[in-house]
Amino acid sequence: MEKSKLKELIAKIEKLPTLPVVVTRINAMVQNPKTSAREVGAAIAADPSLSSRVLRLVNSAYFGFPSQISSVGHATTILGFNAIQNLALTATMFQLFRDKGEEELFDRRAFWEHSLGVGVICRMLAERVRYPDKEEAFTAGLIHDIGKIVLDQNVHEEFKAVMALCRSQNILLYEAESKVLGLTHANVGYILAQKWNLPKKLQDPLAYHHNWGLSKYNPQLTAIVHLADFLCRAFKIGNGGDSQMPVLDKTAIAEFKLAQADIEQLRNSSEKEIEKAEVFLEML
Amino acid sequence: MAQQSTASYLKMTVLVKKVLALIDEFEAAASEGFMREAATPVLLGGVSLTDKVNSAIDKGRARLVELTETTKLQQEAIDELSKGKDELNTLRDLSSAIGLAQTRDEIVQLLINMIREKILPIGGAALYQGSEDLGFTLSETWETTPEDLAEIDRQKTSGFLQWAMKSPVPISMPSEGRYPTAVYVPMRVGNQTLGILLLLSSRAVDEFTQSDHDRMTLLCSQAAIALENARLVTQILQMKQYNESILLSLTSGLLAVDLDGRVTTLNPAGLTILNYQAGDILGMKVSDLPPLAEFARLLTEAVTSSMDRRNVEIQIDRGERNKQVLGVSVSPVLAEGDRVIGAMGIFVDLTAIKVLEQQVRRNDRLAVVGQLAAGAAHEIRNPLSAIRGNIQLLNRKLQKLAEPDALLVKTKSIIEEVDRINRIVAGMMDMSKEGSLQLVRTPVGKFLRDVGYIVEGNFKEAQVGLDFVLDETLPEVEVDLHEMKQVFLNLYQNALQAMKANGKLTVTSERIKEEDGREMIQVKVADTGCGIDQKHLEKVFAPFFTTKTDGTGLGLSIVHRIVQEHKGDITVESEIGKGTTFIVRLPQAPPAAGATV
Repeated sequence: MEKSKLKELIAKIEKLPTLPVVVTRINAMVQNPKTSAREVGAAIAADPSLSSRVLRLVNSAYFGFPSQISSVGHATTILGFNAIQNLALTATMFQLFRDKGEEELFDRRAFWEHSLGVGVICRMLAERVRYPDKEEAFTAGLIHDIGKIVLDQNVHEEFKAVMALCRSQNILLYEAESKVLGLTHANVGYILAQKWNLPKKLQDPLAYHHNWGLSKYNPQLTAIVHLADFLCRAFKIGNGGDSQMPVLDKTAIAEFKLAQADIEQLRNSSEKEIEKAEVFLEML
Repeated sequence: MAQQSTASYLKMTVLVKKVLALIDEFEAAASEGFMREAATPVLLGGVSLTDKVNSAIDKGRARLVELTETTKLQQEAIDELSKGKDELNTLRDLSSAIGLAQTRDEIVQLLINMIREKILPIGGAALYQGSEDLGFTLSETWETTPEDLAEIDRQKTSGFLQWAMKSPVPISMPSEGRYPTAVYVPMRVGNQTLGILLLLSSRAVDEFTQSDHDRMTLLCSQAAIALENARLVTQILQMKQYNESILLSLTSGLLAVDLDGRVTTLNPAGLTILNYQAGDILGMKVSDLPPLAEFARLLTEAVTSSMDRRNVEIQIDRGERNKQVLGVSVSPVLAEGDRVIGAMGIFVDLTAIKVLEQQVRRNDRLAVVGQLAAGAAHEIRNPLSAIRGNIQLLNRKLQKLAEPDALLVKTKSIIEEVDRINRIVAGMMDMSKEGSLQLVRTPVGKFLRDVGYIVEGNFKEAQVGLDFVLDETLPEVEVDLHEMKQVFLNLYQNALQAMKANGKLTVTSERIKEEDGREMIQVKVADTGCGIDQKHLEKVFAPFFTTKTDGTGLGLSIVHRIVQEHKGDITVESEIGKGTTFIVRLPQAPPAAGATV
């Protein structure tokens, strides 16, 4: 692939939908430790549809809070500022990358099921290795493959070639992407993260979940997503677009110390957890 | 020209006035922070001076706003910095204060005060303690009114505790009491929740900031560490106390050593058994204490072999007169991972039991020999008297001969030897005699002295002293006088034979208390003779045992039998070259029937 072609491609990819102001504002507000929960609630309330989606998530079986939470402000003092930020981000992304009714190159329902499965397994792995923020791990898993949708939507024709190559040669999607486009969905995810100014901790897993060795800022979460992606395919939860098992980086997962019994346990409990998290798919 | 110049002068004046007015307006605007614009229109050569001035005012305003913003930002930055420093100080204060705080109440009270002073207004507080597995229960409340308590109780049933336990952040819930908010702060150490602090606050439920959350979480995890430390310290102290009381109440001795063989523990029973003061043995190497040489060897073996050994008998040797027998079980002391860190031995004093065992063995042996001897003696006597009668007859016949026959001497000798056999046989029968005792009540002093009178002459002749140290206030004993006299006659005579000139026999009597509480009368017959070899000591009461060339070896057997028949006992102590002491213990006479006290 020549340079000019790649530049053109990136220019097309960069025509991303802009992140709604409200999410940008929340991201900025959460940076300031003196922001109160009420202020965050008021900011989200400016977008009634976002506000109602966040409240639906907060009151879902996924969190299982013992009583009804009626305001985003209150939800913030219960789930914490980071969790609300991530929820607003996730709800917005689901909104932005919802099916547009055009020709889809891969099954979106199966794709989001895969994403949800990775999110849930990330959360369980985070607990296991004591990653400090389980909800952040969930979000990272949920959005790890977002680049695939961006490719499908923004460079549809080129992506068609990718899918064709992927299917004819039965190779991994990101290998096909690399061959046809010169960049992968992970690179695209990174471009998106930059453009949307996503929290730094979430950028690494987006960009390096197939290339753990390059993750410098948040290798632990990147490793979690890397392993969760692999397990999710092994457990056959949803479909990420191809039907290949990615290569597992042994050094990345050394920390997890997983035995066969642990994997069985993860498989069993992931089913129940995914059921609880189905509410995210309902937003599509 | 003049008119023209007058007109232009007037025009000039108006212009100057307008310019001056414009300047005034600018000055006014400047003094009001450039918040209003100049209005006076001044045109100069087709250029609006007013616009120029207004643009300057705009620039000034922008600059001023910028300045204000910058100042505000700087102030905020300074505030943030000083707040950060404040927080650091708070944490440092808490850490150092908590370092001094020992109890749960002190720690939590400190924590509550800090939160109230530095983070948010709070009223009552409650602490739930427990574990994620067992659940949390209310363990203490602080500064609560009955109304607050009712609210705390209500909160308990809401299920928030379960939630708060796993929550990474403090959570605030609406409260119905006089405080609008109940804040649950999990107290965590690592991944483990040790408790949940419930705070009633006057701050609205959604007015909390991230910084509030962060600071509360930080303070609470600091306090949680302190609480955990306090709990562990208490637990360790209790365990230590428990272990110590076990060691204290053990009746067996327990001795533990480290890898160097130094004594780390010796319980009180052990100190008593081994007869050491704690200060003299703790920290010492067991191998450096000569009496414990055997014990040291066992402990070393336990360390090197990592094996237990049970019920080994060892001797504690403190010289001839002070030997102790211990029953010891040793085992290595293992730390984590089966690493040997020392050895310990549990021991009991078997000395008394050993002595008893010896006595029982001796008594058994004597009884068998006695019965055998009695039977044999009886059978020997009859043929013996037949032999003696016939030899006597022969002897008389030989005496009647005119010429003395050489055989006469032989028959005499035979008669003498037969008599000697007879004496032995009589002694044997005496030894095993089981006749009924003719018991009378008497003070011991009486027969001790009576026998003394009998042997007095012999002692004087041998130039040996005979000394009585008698306690005349002793209670009476109940004995067969004839038999008892025989006992002491034998003992005195034995002693006399063991001594050279200038020796001395000392007879003492005293009252002692046996281990089982019985009071006994003890008589010691101590000579200054040649002593008995240690290896012979055990056998001195056995029949036919003698070291004398002309002894029958029955004297002490008879003594033993008689003392036993009186429900007493007899022991012997001896040291070569120094002398021998026989110790006879006799029970007190029972209270005399009808006796008046």
